[in-house]
Amino acid sequence: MTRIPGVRRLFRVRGTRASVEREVDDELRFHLEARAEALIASGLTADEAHEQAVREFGDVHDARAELVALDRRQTRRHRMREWGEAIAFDLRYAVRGLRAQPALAAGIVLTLALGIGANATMFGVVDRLVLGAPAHWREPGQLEQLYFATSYPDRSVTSAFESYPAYLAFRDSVPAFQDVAAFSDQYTMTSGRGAAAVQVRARLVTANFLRTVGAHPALGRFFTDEEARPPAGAPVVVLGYGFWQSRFGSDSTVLGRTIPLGKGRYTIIGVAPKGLTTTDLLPVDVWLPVAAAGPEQLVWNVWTSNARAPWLQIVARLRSGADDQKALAQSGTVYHRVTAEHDRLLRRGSTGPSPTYSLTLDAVSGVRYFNGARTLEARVSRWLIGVSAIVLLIACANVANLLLARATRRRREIAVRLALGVSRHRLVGHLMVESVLLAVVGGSAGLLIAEWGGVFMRGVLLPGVVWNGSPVNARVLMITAAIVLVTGVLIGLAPALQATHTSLTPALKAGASEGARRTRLRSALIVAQAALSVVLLVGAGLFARSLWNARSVNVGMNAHPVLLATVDLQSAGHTPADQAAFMEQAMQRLGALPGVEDVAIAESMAFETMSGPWSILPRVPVVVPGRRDSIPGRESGVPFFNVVSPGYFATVGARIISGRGFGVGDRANTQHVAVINETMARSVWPGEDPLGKCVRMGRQSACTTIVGVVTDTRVEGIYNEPGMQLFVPFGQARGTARVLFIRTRGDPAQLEGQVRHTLLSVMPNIPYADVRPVQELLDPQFRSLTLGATMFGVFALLALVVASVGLYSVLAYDVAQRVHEMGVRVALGARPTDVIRLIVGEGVRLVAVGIVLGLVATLAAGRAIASLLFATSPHDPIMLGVVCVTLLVVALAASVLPAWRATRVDPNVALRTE
Amino acid sequence: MPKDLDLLQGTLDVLVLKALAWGPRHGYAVARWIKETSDDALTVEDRALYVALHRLEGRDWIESEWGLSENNRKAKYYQLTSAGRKQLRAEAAQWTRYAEAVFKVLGATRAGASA
Repeated sequence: MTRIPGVRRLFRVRGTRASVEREVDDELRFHLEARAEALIASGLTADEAHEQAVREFGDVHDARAELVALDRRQTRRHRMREWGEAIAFDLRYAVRGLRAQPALAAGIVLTLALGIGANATMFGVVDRLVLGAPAHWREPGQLEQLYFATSYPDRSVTSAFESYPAYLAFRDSVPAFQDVAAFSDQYTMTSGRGAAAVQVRARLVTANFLRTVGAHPALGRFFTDEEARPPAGAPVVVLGYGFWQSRFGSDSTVLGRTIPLGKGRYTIIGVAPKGLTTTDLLPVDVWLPVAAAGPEQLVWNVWTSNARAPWLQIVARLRSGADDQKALAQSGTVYHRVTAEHDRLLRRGSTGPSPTYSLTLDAVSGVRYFNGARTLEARVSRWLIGVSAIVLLIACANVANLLLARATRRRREIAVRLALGVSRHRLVGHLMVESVLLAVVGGSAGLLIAEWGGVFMRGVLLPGVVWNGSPVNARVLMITAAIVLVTGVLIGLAPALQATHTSLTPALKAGASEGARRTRLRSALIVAQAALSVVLLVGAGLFARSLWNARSVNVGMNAHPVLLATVDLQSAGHTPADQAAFMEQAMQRLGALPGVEDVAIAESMAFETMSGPWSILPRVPVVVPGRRDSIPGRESGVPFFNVVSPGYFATVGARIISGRGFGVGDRANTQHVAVINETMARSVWPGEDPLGKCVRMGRQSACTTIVGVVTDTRVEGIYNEPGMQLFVPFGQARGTARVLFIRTRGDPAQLEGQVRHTLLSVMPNIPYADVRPVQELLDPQFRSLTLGATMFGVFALLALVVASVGLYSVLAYDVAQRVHEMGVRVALGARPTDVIRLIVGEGVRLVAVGIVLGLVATLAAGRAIASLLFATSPHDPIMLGVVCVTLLVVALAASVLPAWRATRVDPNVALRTE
Repeated sequence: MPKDLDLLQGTLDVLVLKALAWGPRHGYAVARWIKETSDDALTVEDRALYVALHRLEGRDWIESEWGLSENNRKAKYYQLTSAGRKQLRAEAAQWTRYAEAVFKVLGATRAGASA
């Protein structure tokens, strides 16, 4: 504010609340006193004068309040404007400063972009997999999923599935629930016949499903209560959005048309919103009312009253005002009643002690297994978000280091500004504006990276999940903005703190070198970077090794060249005789195809348990005559049972260890034979030769003779130890061939079309023939490890690059600062190797300290990550060794160039410069 | 005392700006100047005057500073800013035009053009 001429200036305070009031008081008092004085001069007494002055003024008290309010508003506005002007000035100043050093600015922005981009990407993934509710599920905070625990004395089983009667009880008897909906697991249905047949992914849901989750159909309507009413409901279908797009070309006139599904035809009444899924985030092609499709799909004939058949997942929306505790208590009571009613049924005639049943409510966020546990992918992702945070920390440390170095170079400029009267407060503000500007630019570039990274992660690492929308959505933007702010403050903190501690005199002196304290701070940042890099490298190594171990695990079959073909003849209404004839013919025709080495048929396929609760691998109780204890009675101890054709073992690549496989001579009228796997041989006949032993299967009274032992197959997944398995030949068992195995020469994928064509030519009217490489069934098993290995690898590499650049820049800067000292050393006779040893030694020393700290952190964190690894110890010494060596090599590489520069110092020049 | 003339809306602002046209004054001086210059015809309520001063300051037409009064007491002085000076010129011109128009009408000698 300009000085008012002719007035002796007293002071000028803009600001505090108290000062505003005081100024108004002073002003008014002056007026009243001046007026009173004038009145006294005209002859009034002091009291009269004062009274009249006040009377003339008007309501003093009121005026005071009005003026104070007015001034406060103005002060506030004024302060905002000053603040804005200061920021605008700082921004201009910062932009100018950064443009003067474009390489530095670009380096910083790139570093931050990578760090922030990594975090935005991972947040997008974790938000879908772990944090957020499925798309279109409104107000997910009010939604709860029900989980059911059955506790036996020795174990407890949790499941998300319950029966239809249990669902009805929750729907009708829990006042705290406003709406209760249920949905089935995903399963496949066939639409059409022959060459035109397709497989669709279907869901059975209750009529109120869409209402409960709060979604609205994209077209048409959802089911009415009437259409979902048992026993038959109405044959209506709501199409999934993607299915509607791909099969019907987004035709809005589909409503009212019918499509064939399974044995019936269904009328299309609506289209679900784009990307609507249940909690497992799997794509849905058709939504069907439970009542319409239930009778066809469910193996239990009285599904509406069968309390033994848990096949529905249940979600509930809380009534507004009801809390979880009340809901939990009420639904717990209902569940007790339901389980008590059905206890005898649920125990299946077992005479042991009754299990206890309990219920929990959990958020509907994220994908989970059927027992409510987070999927491995989700758990790995959760780790990865921590990892991306570490990457960002390393990036921040690096940028802070660069800015510190820059602040040191600008030390004299800062000192001059301080000397000229710029307040330290303003200076800190200026530095902060600069760092936040860098963070904002870096963050914007980071969003680009997040967009690409998100597409990559969704497509390559986590396929099979419905993602819905762009990787960069509103929530990602919000979190990125928060990250940007924190980052800006983090990287600006160190330079700003230092600026406030700049002491003027030494800084203004020419040629003063960097203080020891400053060097220590920058060294500490290098140590921290090295330590964090160790943690990431070890993580990457562990996942890579796990993946390697998992890939090389013997699943018991050589799956790579094998195609798997399934044709669901049974649900299409073919008789067993028809089916057998078809399979026989298909085997012959396929065997004659060029490129096919071997064909076999079997009743079931390993890894199939994943596809739904009602395609559980068949097991058979086995008794060894004369030995009551021979096979444990627990469910998990009952062997898996498969009926196979003679060529089966050779086709899938399992090896007969002893005895023989099946031959064409094994018929119904010859000696019944079985082949068992190694695990069964070992656990039932330890130390004995199982060949020739007799077992009785199920209710059979006749002996089945063991004729061979085959290598183990991991039927339940690579994470599970192989269980007992028992194979019998077709012809001696009543099994129905459901799957065909086709061993090919070369790439099996190239034969897919031919195989499907052949199957169609054998029986033109078959339902959809599903042909795919066996490897496709195996791949999802490796997904979490691939995810971990890839992303840990990417992040570790990123961290390593950033950290080594950081080390390089610090050493290079150090060398530049110590040119004088180097000159002296060289002048005093130091050889180049001495100088190199000095500089490299310094870099390696810092990194070595970081490695030690990183190893300590790794050892501490190892146990937590162990459950995500596969046959890999988190404290694998070789791994730790490799990481240490890698980091040391990188440290050496980063130190060599600055060291080499130090040797080039010409003592003549160096000593003369200062 | 003659009957007070009611001040039209916005008139006070231009009077205050005019009062400051010759240099900085404190609020009391502004009040006295208006009273004396208008020969006591315009009586501005003191309270309204101060509200106007603070409001004008908020619009950056005037600015204030604490100083010492003629008899060495602490007083708040106001002076025009350049924006205020411009505003005063604009408002004064407008007022003059307005007043001239009113005078013209009141001083009319003929009943109308259409007669």
